[in-house]
Amino acid sequence: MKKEAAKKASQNFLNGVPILLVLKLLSEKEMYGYEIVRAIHEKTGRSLSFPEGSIYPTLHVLEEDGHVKSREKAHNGRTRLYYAITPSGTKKLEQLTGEWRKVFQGVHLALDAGKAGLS
Amino acid sequence: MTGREWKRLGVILAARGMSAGRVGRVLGELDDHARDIREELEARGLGPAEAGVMALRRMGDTETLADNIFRGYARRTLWGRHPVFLSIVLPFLSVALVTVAAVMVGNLFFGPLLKALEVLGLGTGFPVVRALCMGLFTLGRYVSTAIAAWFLLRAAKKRVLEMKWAFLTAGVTALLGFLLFPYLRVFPPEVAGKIVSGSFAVGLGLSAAFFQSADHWTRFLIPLVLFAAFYSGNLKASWRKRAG
Repeated sequence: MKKEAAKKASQNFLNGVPILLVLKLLSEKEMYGYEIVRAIHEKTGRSLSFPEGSIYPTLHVLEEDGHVKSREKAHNGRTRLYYAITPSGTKKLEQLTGEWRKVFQGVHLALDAGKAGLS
Repeated sequence: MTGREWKRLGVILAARGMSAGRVGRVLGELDDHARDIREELEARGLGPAEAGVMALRRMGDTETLADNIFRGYARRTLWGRHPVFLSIVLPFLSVALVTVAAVMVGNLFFGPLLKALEVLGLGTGFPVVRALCMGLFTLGRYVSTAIAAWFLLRAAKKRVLEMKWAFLTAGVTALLGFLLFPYLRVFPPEVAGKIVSGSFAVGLGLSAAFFQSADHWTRFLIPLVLFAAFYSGNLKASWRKRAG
């Protein structure tokens, strides 16, 4: 029961991370789905990865919310769907980055306070 | 994945409630994804056959892929994260909103409509006006039920909610339609210069008489018929999946 609750809390805590990372990557250049998955894997020092296929729902919802837009582009004789950030996505990225930094600093402070208390 | 497996994945996604357009898009992107994995593995020196096998293994089986995709959509929406709660609460909220909207529309447009009829020399007699009021009220009961169900089912489909939750939403809306008893009283004008006076009330309850009432059964059936219309393709896919 405790394990379930911890898993759920962790899921909620990490829920916004894919959106944050996707928007951050797309703010640098337009990318296609697999490229985004690879970039997240590489740029997070291989500590984060997504189950295959799960990036597309995130991209579709971001597109429906107007934060990213997609366009087809020819590549090696086939067409790929490339995603790019929109002005609304840039604002969302700023907001999420601010929130994430606050959480990160808070957790960092709490962990350091724990260390200080132990010593 | 083989063509047959892609087709099976499409049937699974549709059977769980995804629209045909979205199934096509997801399958197209997943196919590209699998090709990209294969190309990357080939670039690392693997032979085409081996790269193909590895790419398939990484993509996973169709059921796992479908789970990943639906979980991905569910995590991005409030309704997806709390499907039971919102599938029950949203129909209640929609009934409240539709009631308020009905009163507002009545206040805004019904007076001017009666005035216009009076100017045109139509519907000036109280019996005619009352008949008109009651006719529009009956029509409004069905239209408002349909509007509430339509908005909810459209939102469920757009947000890729699993079909079972959309069915629960339609079921609760249907039940509310059956249990609601909107009531309109129309009487001669109480205020000088007005054409008609009236009062509007909405109640919720259960009576044996409801089971004999075509009005209650109609409001019960409207959300279910709309559900069948919205999800007809998905219901067919669900049947195909069960049939193997």
